[in-house]
Amino acid sequence: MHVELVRADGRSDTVTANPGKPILDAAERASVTIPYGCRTGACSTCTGKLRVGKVEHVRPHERSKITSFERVSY
Amino acid sequence: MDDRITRMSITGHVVSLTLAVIRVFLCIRCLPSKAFLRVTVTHPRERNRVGKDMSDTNSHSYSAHHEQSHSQHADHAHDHEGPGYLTPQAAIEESEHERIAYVLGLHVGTKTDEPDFVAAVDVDPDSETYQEIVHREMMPSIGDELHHFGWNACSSSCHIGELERRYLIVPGNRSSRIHIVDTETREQPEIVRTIEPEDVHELDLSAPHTVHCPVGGSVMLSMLGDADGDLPGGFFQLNENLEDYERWDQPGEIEMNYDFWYQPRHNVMVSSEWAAPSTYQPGFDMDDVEAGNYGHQLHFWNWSDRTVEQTVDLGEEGMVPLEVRFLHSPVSTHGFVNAALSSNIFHFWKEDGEWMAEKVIDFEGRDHDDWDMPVPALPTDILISMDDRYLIGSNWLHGEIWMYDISDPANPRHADSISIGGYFGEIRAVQDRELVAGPQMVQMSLDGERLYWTTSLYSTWDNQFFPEEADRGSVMLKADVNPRRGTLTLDEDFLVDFGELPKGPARAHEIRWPDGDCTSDVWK
Repeated sequence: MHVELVRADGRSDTVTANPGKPILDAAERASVTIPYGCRTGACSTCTGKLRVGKVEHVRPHERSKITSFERVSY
Repeated sequence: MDDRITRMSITGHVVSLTLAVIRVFLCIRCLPSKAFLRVTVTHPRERNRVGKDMSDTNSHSYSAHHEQSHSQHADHAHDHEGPGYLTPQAAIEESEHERIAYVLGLHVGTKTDEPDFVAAVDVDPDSETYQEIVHREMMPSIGDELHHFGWNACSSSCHIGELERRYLIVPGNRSSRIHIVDTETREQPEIVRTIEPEDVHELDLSAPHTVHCPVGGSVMLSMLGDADGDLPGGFFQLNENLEDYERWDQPGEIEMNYDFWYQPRHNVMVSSEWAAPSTYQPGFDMDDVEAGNYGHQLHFWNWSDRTVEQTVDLGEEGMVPLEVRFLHSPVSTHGFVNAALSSNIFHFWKEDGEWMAEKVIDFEGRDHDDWDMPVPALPTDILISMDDRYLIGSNWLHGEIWMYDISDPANPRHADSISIGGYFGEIRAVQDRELVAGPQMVQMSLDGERLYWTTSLYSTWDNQFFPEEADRGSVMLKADVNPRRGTLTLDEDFLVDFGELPKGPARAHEIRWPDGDCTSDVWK
């Protein structure tokens, strides 16, 4: 699956992404530098405008979030 | 859909499947005119959540404790082999004119896709490279947002001969990377190790902020979020070998975190509150204030038990308490904190076994044509001079460096100010270099005669309030201080321009000296 990443100045790169995997991984594999920070979806450094297509936002740690009960026995 | 503006986090997004509209993209350039409209957060919590009496250090036993501490430290003079100075006064007497300043430089949030760096800045007036950035130690990855940093050892370990103030612990607040930088060659600091975000996340922590070097060689970092960048934050302890680490606190002891300081003789640590990384990292949003997502409390910890003994709620006038500074004297229980969003300074102290806090400085908002409400001063950084005589700080939005006499800490007296940069500063340029932001991080020479500052707060906040800084870079400026007369005088011959760098303009944030400074050294 091809993803075109267009910068504010009009420059663009097209990278090959795997379904179910982060776009950042695809960019890094292709040595395309895009802004990012936390890798968890918290800091919004990688925020962009979706021009076309579909994405799903998945924050990597949320599936294994510790519940408040479990925290007691941490 | 093409025209629909969404905030999309590429990092955590999966290609294909369904579109999740995360949040309407923040129109950050609109914010200054809308910001601070209604700071009407209510605080139903009690002023003191836990009024527990720390009887071992209360005022009644203070004298005895003090005496005991003195006897324990009576052999200081012949025992001193470790890093730092025996007392704050020794630091003033024995320190030399600073020659190298370490300054954090950032490309985060600029058009330059390069890593952030630790800059070595020549601040020796007798040097041929005075006021030049003589070295930039680049971090391994882009996107760190280097923010605050600190030493592996300081004056709190003055008895421990094998320790050396040599390694800078340099965290990325945005990335959660923690870098170890060796300063054996002072002019050329060298990165030697990085703790990766995945390892930090294993402790359910993220967003490292303040670095302190407690007694004995371990290093403490305040962490502002959990592994997802949400609450609660906590504390990360790096062991003396700078390789092993653990979580210092029990998760949930606090929710929000920011800065901390400790007074070993009183077995106390105080921590302050900003917000969750997922709240402050994308940028300032007034809705988050109204939703109660920003902090307003101080937490006083039992240092040895690692538990919060008392929480003091500063209320509506104490929104976003940031830098907590105890007086340098190890016997003092007085300190100050800047409530940035409310633009107030609070004095805190211990009385009859209980921690108290009171607003002592109130900076009034000022009208501006482009704002539909008074512009708040936003005092974003403070420090206490090594002689504990002056509280010095910066009003980032107004454009002011100020200096208050705190010889009576409950009644600070304005001594002097410099009106420079920001929205209202009278001085708009130094050496024809236009100032595009206000004064922010401050650092003072140990002898209290020179004050330096930089102009970046946080990349996303810079881009809202001083968007030109991304293109022009930050500056590092200096004032000469007369601690006898209580005066500040801008050194118009001093300018370090972070806008003129080979890779592109950079922001500049915290400043540290190789031999200790007014915001890192603590005495046991």
